[in-house]
Amino acid sequence: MAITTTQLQEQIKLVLEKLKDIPTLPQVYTQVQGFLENPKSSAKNIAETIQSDPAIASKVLKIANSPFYGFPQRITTITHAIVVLGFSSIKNIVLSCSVVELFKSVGETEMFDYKGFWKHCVATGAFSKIIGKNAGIANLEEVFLAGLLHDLGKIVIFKYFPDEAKKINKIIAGGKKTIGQAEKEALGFSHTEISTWLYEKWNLSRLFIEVAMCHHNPAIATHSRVTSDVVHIADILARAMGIGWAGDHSLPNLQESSLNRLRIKGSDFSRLIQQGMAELGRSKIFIDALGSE
Amino acid sequence: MIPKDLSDVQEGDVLAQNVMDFTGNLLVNKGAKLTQQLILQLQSRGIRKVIIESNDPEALKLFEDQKAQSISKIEKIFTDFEGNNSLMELKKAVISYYKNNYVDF
Repeated sequence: MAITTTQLQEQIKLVLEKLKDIPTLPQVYTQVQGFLENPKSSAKNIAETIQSDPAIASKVLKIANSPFYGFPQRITTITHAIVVLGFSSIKNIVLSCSVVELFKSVGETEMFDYKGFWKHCVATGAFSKIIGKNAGIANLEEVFLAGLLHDLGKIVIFKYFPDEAKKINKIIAGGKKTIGQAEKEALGFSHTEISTWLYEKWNLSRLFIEVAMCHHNPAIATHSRVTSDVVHIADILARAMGIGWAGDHSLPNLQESSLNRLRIKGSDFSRLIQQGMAELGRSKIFIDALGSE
Repeated sequence: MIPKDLSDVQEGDVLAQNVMDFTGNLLVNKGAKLTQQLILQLQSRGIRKVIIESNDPEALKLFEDQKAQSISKIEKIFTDFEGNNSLMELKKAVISYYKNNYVDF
């Protein structure tokens, strides 16, 4: 008898809850998130919190001054960054910096090209921003982040399931299967379920959770279908362009329904690629952030 | 055409591709001849690499080989999707991008 989705999710939770040292976001992110939810918080509270983590603080300033935001004026302090960019952008920057720090702490593994994988995440973010803009989404920063975070479950597998990771690499070496198919064969579930579990644990917004869960099948999204459609197509464009390493040598199924919902025709791909590659140039700071201290 | 670090270009080198800044603004048109002043201006705008016209057969061959290698990798990715019209359109767009641009990622 086939098991239901809920039963599968329970089984996955049971496996994952047994893992020790599961990656957590730096304390600074949870503190900033807490301040933003409290109407009595001030820019000073948030600035002091960010400054308490020098690695994150220096990255926040680098990103705030990068072409990604394109401010003509130089931003010299965290308080200045909060005033110029606003609370929401600062929270997004701290989240992306926190993920970079996380990559540094768990990413080192012989079986997985984590730098190439990070490039794939940034490229998916950049393409998401462009496709999201074409789709009329207002908060493009959030769309970028949804793309950046869509696949993090993959590093959890390669870090915490080394035996299964070896099997996955063997299956992928055959060249015919996607990493998602190989993960299901070796583990019984894939990175999408792991990302979902992880983001629930991290208390991330429903948008990030649903995009991580539905980016290979956006039709099942109930809360963030448009962003799931956007990231689904962005992921395929980033893979098709050969930017970074998504974990396999193939392409996932391109959902025609996503193209239809976003009104993207085959003749639009050239323009989206041109714009996406220019956006990737502006987002290069995120790629560089992994290599910097 | 070949990619060259801005620190290695010489006065008189001719741009084979437009130079854009990070926000997509056009800085210099293709066909322009590089002068010392222009090189310094581009450096101050954060440009690290440009594509220049070249007659150096060795450099040209290296660049063309790298491009052919990238295109062959892309063709492999799409091998199993011959019947999928949207993916075939995507493949065409990707290969055309690689043929006409220098990809530095």
